[in-house]
This record gives sequence, structure tokens and C-alpha cells, in this order.
Amino acid sequence: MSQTASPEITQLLLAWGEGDKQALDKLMPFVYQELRRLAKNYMLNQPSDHTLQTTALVNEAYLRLVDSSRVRWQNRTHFFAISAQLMRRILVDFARARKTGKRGGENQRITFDDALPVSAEKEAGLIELDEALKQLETLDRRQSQIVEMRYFGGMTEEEISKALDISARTVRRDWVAARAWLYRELSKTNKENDPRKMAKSK
Amino acid sequence: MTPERWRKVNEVFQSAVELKTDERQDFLDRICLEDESLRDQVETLLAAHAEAGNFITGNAAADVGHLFTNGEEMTRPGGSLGHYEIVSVLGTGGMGKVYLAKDSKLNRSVALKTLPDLLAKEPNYVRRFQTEAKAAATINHPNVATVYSVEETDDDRFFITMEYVEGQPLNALIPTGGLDLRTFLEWFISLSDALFHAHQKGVIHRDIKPTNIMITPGGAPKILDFGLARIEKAKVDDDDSTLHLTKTGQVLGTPAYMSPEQAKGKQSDHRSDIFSLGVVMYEAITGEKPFKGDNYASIVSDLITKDPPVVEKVKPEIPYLLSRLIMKCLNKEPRYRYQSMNEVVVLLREIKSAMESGASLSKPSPALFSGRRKIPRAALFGAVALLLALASLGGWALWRSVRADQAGNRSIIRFSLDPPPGTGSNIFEAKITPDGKNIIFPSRQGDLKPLFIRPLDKYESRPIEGTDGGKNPFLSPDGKWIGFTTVTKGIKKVPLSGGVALTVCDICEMTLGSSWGEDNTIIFADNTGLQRVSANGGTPERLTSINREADEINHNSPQILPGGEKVLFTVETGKNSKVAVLSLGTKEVRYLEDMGEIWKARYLPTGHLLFARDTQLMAVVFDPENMKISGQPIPLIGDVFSFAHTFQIADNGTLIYLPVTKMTDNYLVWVNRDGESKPVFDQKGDFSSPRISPDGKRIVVKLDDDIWVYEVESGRAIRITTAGRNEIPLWSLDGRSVIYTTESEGVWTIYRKNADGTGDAEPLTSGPKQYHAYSIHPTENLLTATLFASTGNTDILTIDLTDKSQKQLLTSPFKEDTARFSPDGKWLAFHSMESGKSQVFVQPWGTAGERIPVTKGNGMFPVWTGNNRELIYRRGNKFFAVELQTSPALKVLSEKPLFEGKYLTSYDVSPDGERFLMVKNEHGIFPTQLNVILNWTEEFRQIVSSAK
Repeated sequence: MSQTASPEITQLLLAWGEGDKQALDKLMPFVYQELRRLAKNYMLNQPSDHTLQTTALVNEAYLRLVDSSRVRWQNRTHFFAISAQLMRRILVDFARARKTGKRGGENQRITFDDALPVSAEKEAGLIELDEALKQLETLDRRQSQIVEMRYFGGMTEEEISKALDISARTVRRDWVAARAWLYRELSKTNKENDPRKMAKSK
Repeated sequence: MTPERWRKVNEVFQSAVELKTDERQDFLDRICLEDESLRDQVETLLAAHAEAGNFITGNAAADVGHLFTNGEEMTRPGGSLGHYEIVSVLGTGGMGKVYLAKDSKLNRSVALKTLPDLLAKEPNYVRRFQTEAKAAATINHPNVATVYSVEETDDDRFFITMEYVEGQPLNALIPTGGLDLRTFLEWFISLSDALFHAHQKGVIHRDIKPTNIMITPGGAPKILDFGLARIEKAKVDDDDSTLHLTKTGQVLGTPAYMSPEQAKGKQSDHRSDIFSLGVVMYEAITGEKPFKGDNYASIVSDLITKDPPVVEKVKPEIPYLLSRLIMKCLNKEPRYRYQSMNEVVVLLREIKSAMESGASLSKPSPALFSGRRKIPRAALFGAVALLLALASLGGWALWRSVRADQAGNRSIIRFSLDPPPGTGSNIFEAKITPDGKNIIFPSRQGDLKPLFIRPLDKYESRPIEGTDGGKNPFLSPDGKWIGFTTVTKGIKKVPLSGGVALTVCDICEMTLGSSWGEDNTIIFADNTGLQRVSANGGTPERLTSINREADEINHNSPQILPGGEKVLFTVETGKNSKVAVLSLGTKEVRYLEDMGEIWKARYLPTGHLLFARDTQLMAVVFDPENMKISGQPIPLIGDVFSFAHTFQIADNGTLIYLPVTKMTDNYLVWVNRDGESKPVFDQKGDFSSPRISPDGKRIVVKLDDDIWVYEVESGRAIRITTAGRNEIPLWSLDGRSVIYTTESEGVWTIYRKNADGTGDAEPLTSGPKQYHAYSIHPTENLLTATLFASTGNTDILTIDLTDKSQKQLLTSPFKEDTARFSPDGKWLAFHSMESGKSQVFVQPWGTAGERIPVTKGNGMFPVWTGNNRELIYRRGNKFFAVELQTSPALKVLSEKPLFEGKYLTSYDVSPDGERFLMVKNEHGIFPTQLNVILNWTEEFRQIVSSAK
């Protein structure tokens, strides 16, 4: 993997920033690869239960992939926005792979309540959240993007408002509505499924 | 839904969510008009918003980051944590994982609950985890899974170990239609008793549900995860201020057993456990959950708004009284539930004995009282007893007061009161309200440290809202307001019923007493003197200043005298304390006749001053007009702890005071380095100053006024001294003789006498000076001793054991004492106040070199262990071991805390450094209970009139 910023990626990011839609398609696989690699590396080298911080990850990917002397701030925000989308894809892919892969037996449920294996719960929750988010996208694309950027991309309200070119207040209001909508839908679709398992874990 | 429709719903929702909860209905009425579906959409969203808690407020990667690691964990079966070998995973909870582990030291199975590393990095969380777990560890009840230990590994992993309970969770054992009555009563009497026991210790479960109750193979119920639920829940913090649920903690797990106050995210107390137990009882006896919505939102909504069907309607054969008990537990309002778990225990027991005595309880019980059926006599008695128990305390109190008034009876009643459990209450600052109905206790534990109020007609204390961090409480004359100082400086007041704290003034960090006058001014004493401020707030006006020239230390304990023109207060000086009266008009201060060492005086409307001297509460006739005392003080109550300002009389004649601790309950204990203790022998008495003999087989100790030598193995004891007051013994190097101090008619002498009690005592000092010997040099035949000067200062000197000559060693103007030679004689450790605080120093002996402080903070009572490099000292109830480097230069290498325990000051360490000989008093050195005497003024009148 690239140890220094890649001129190619920088170029693609600049082109995308200037309106070249195809540049994005070319950019995505690189970023996806890098984020995935970083995430995996990061988690394997940390003690168990360590929190993975998307922001740190994306920042590192950005530093690795993009020559920051050549791109403007807006491009950086754009990079973060793509990364949010990619993080969503990476995590949901992982969750799907795990769900279909080995299951059961690893956590026996004996005496303690809440003994449902948390990881399995959260994986399932993540896939359902992804589905719900797709539905929300058909109703309000911007709201689904805001959730993606905040929850999957770890972006701040300010960053989101820059990326989407809307006021921070709008970001906030949309976030509250989208979150309530998602929570309601997830509670509805499956009563066994408690959406709060996607609650912030720290 | 179409995007257009969503836009509309979204718009209305976004406007509604920004309104206050109570304004939303109106708004929706106006906006939605006939559009019911719009209204429904918005309302369900608002509900979802309210319940969403932390839903996706974090970060996806943080939530599911483990996906990248293939679920690998550091702690797995076969691994180990400290001396615990992990056997298997029992489950994964909101807080961390639970393992079955084997304690390899004690060779027993334990359940081991870990704290996730990411939480272990948050100091606040860890502190809370430890505090809660430690509190839970104090619960010792057969129906509670015991918390064994709270542990921390070298790499900062935190975990607790608990009793591993085999069996099945309660939910797996409830058949359709519910448990039979006998099993139900058996289990729930135990469970409610266990909860009552925990509540008394100040531990609230907060997550009572069938899966947290295990039924052992022997059929005994056990409550799991005590006090831990709260940790999971307290640790939730959210930056989204519009989420009102998250402030006090979003709750994990099912809401079906939560109390309404928990579901609303409000403050909850032990009555929340009463509700949850009610839910569990409902389910256990009927087989049906009382709140059983389809999803989280509907359960919560039922919980808050709907009353479940009455138990006897669901299962008609259930006794009416049981149905009523369960329904009362399920009241939405905590104040309408039982106020103590003990009431539940008592009532369940009554039902059980009524059942066992043969009463048919299978029909609703009203028939039991109607007389239409034949009822066994015993059952009737049981039922009547039950009715009496059900009658509220209020009814009884009413009856009593009516009777009391009729008879004009003012019975004198004495009792002791525990401060509220778990609050670390500062009992020295307890106050009684003017009407004598409540006692106020400041708290010292927990995050908020509010003032607590204990109404004397209730068992429970409750925090007073608005008084967080409050200290030095005092009350307005009408008892409606309470004033206090805060850590953030200043005096504040709140209504006694709680509320918003109002600032009286913003100076003054702590007071040495305050008095709230009838004219609504407050006179308070701080470290500068007396000041006066309006209770409505303002700038304080100075009344007196401490005269440092005259050696005054403070002015304290002001009391505004009737009429409001004079203030009684105490002036403490370096030598003594004097009672004085300040005339507010002229600002003139007049001192009263010297009454000896007293801390506080209080004027009684009978024309007396009440004060405590030594351990006596006394009264003397006082004329406030001429500010003169007359006659002899009359002793009233003995065994009063007088080093505090706590005695106080309410307007209704109730007296509160602190009793002195009975030293006759002392006993000797061995304590190991982990703080585990066991008694040396059974005997209790006024033991102090124990010393272990050089061979470790005997103990010399002061018991009452004598010195005794005990053989550890046999418990055989020899009294060494025969007359005078004897104290502070120590062993000679060969263990053949003991050295001690005797006081007889004001003369202090250090003696040496054979340890088998034979022969005469040989005086080592003579004269009126007070000495105590502490240590003998291993080669130089020298003794270190502390000399008590008349000024209250102490110095250290040496006494030559051969020619009895004395040499001054440490004679600074500061206190120095307890000097002890290291076993090799090369170092001297001692306690000194030289640096302004209480510290332990070490200096070389026989060679030149600087002394160094070995305690970073405060510390006292140094004792060497046998290796000459380790020194033990204590700071309050905590014991520490300091490792010293002695060459090339003297310095402290490390200091580690050993254990904490309430032991009397003096102690000794075995030569191998492994065992500590301590004196224990269950009650501690300071009073732990408040004594209350109702109608004490009656007794006072009787004593005063008989004294005439």
C-alpha cells in the first residue's frame, strides 16, 4: 500500500471537485481499499474493546492518499463525505459477511441477562439500519446523507454543513428528524430488534 | 409515504420538537386539524425522538469496530486475569463481558465481570464503577450474589468478581398461570428482604428483573448484579441537548421492569426498586407481564400512562391482600408506593403466616372480614394484624398525638439515629429543625453531596433539592428555609422542601456557625470573625474581627439572643476558649466568666447557658440582660462528645447530641498487608498502644489504666503495673523487660520492669515533666522519648538507659513525636509538624546527613519493618509502606498504599513486616450515631428544680 500521498488520487479528487463525475467512480475503490486496510490494521493492533474512531481513520487515509499541498479545504471535506459513504459500505459488508459466516456457539447465554452476544446484535442492527437508510434516501436524500456523514463518517455538524452547503442549523434539524424516523422505523419492523443497540457504545 | 408527504410530516415534526413538551399538543391541534394521519405520524416521531436516547449518536465504527477483528478477544477461555483463570464466557452485558473463572488462590469458581477497556480509560467512569462495586460488596445476604472483590490488573483492566450462582433464572421457572402461592411467598419474602438489606446500606439495584434473579438448584433465590445496573446507565452523556431522556441516563435492556421515573430519565431512588419488584411479583404470580407492549415505545408509554389490570382480576384465586400489595408497589408515583422495602417484607410475611395458619386465602379477602364465612381464629388475628400494619403511620401518629395532648404527657424518649446510609454523612454537622421534626445531615460521598433531610416520622432520608455540595447547614427561625455554605463559596438558602438555591452572599467558604434571627438577618462566623447579612441577600457587614495579637484563633458558634440585640459566641484562643456576648448596637464585646475549656454555649429560654465541658453537658444560670452567669454549673448528661458543636435543642424541647465512643469495646486484631483482619483473642476492653515482643510471641498493651503482657498463643496475661495511670509501653531489646509511663498525682515517670511482672519498677526519669518512651537503640543503650511541654508543644529527647542522662534531640517550636530507630540503628523516623502539615521524616543516626520527608502528604505514626528499608505510616485510616534507599543518599524509592481500616492511632508491625497489630473499635474513634432525646426540656426542668 502506498506510504506516501498518491498523485493519482490527488488528481482524481481535484478533478471531482471541479465537477468530473467519473473521477469519483475511479476514486472510490482506492479509498475503500485504504480505509478497510487501515480499519482492520487498527483494530487488530489494539487491545480488545478498543474504540475505532472513524475520524482518525479517515484523516489517516486522507494523509496517506492525498497530497494536501495540492488540494483545497473543500476537497478535503469532499474526501470526508466519500469516506462516510465508504465506511458505511465497508461496515455493512463486514456485517453481512459475518452474518452469513460462522455463527452460534461462541457466546452461550447462561445466567446473565443482556447476554445476547452484543456483536451479533449490533451486526444485525447495522444491516437493518442500512436498509432503513436506503428507504429514507427515497424520501429525503439529504437527510440520509446527513446520517451517513455523521454516523458512518464521523463528521461534525460544521463539516457536514460545508460538504452539503447548507446551514448548520438545517443539518441539526434534519438530523433530529432523520434519527427519529429511523428509530421509529427500526422499532416497527422488528419488535425483537431494539434499535438502541446501535446506541453509542461509550 | 411519498417524499412530498414526508416533507410535510418533517416540517411539522421539526417545529413541534422545538416546542416545550406541554405546548406540543396545542400546536398539533392547530396544525393537523382533521388530518389524523399527519398527527399520528408526528406523534410517533416525537415519541421515537424522546426514546431514541443515544441511538446512532456515536460513531458506526466505534459501535461495530470489532467486526474488523473477527471477534478475537484478549480474554478468552484458557486465558487469565490476575489470579483468575477464565473458564468460559457466561454472557455479554451492556457493561462488559461476564466470565466463569476460577480463583486460583482460593480455588473456587467466580463470575468475573470485566469493564470494557474503552470505559476503563475514563477516570470518572472507573471511579464510579469502583465505588458502586465496593458499595455492592458490602451487601452480605444469603439471597444476594456476593461481590467478592473489585480488581485492577497492572495494565489497567478493571473487573469485579462475584459469587458464581448456578441454577436457572426466575423467568425460566414461571409457569403459564404463574407460581403457586407458597413458592411465591417463599421466594419473594427472601427477595424483598435482600433488597431491604441492600437499601439499608444505601445500595439500590435499579435493574430488578426476572433474568437478574437466579433460583439455585436448592430452590433459593439470589439477586445478581447488585448496584451494577446503575453504572451501566449512569454512564451516558449526550451532546444533543434536545434529548431529554439522556440526561440522567438512557437505560439499556428491556423497559418492562423499569419504574416510570426511570423510564422518564428522572432521578430514582430505592422506591424504584419497589416498583420493579412489583412488576416481577405481578409476573411471577400471574404469569403475565403487567406492561407488555409490542415494542420499546409502547411499553414505555404504558408504563408511564396506563395502570395494569388488577392482579386479582387476572388471577382471581390470589389473596386480595397480595393483589393490593403488588398494585401498591406499582403505583406510578413513588410517594404512593410503600416507602420502604421493609413494609413489603412485613406484609408478605403476614400473608404467609395467615396462609399457614389455615385461612383460606383462595378467595378475595374482603369475605375474610365480612363475617359471612367461618374463619379460623388464628387467621383472623393474622388478618387484623395485617390491617393494622396497613394502617398508615400517619394515622398512628395522629392517634398518639391526640392521646398525648389529652394526658398532657410529655414523655422523655431517648434513641439513637444512624445518619443516612451511603452518604458518608458528616454527623458533626447534623442539625435539627426548629420544630424538632427533621434532622439535616450534610453528605460527603457521591457526586452531588446534597444535604439530606430525615423526617423523624419516616425511616428514610431524602436529599434536599438545590443543596448539592452544601455544608454548615442552619435553619431559619420559622424552619421554612435552610441556609448552607457551598464549595463554590458563599452562603445560599433554599426552602426546606427543596428548590432553587438563592444566594445570600458570595463570600465565606465555610462557617464556624451561623444564626438566623427573627428579623431575617443571618449572623455567621467565618475565618475572619462575625459578620451580618440580610437573609434576602446583600453585602455582609462586619461585626467582630479576630484579634490575632491577643492570640485569638477564631470567633465561632454565634447565637442571636432573644430580642435580637445581642449575640452569644465563643472566642477560641491559643490557650482556651471564652464565651462572649456582642451588643449589636454598640458593637461592644463582653467576655463571660471563665467556664474552662468549652466549645460552644447555647442560651435556653429558661435563663440558662448550656455548654459541654469534657464529656459533660452542663447548664449554668445566665442573665442575658446583664450578661452575667451565676451559681455553679449543673451537670446534665454525661458521655457527650464535646469536641464538636453538635448539641442542639429544637423549639419543641428535643435535644440532639453526639455520644462519646465507648472505648471499652476495643479489641486487638492482626491485620495482614491486604487489610484482612482477625482478632488476636476474644477479650474486649480499653486496649491501646500494643507492641509486639522481639520474638513475636507476646504483646504488651495498655488495658484500662494498666500495662499488661499477653502470650499470643495461650492468651495468658500478666498485669505489670499496680498503681497510677499507665500508658505507652514498649519492649526492651531482649524482650525481658517492658518500659512504660506512669502518671500518679500529676507526676509522670518512665519505668522499666520485668516482663514477667516480677521485681520492682525502676524509674528512668523523675520530675513533673510528662514523657513517653517510644524506641530503644539496638546498640547504644538509648531511649527516644517525647516530652510534652506545657505550651502543648512536643519535643524529642534521648534518655541514656545506663546513667539516665537526657539529651535534647529535636526541639523545634513545632510538634515532634513518635521517634523510632530503625532495627539496625542507622536511621531515626519521627513525626513532625515542621512543614506546617503532619509529616513523617527520616534522618541518619550517628552520621551526618539531611533529614528528608518520607510522606508526600500528611502522615503520622511511623513504624519500621525488620529490613531497615521499609517504613509504614498512616494517614487517617489509610496505611502506607514507603521503601527507602539509604545509599548513596537517603531517598524515597516508592510508596504504596496497603489498606484502609478504622483502627486506633497506635499500632505495631511484626519484625517480618507481614502482620500489623492494631486496636479495633467497631464504632470507630468518632461517634457514628446521633443521640436524640424527645422532650428533653422536661428532664432539664426536673434536674434544675431538684438542684435548687
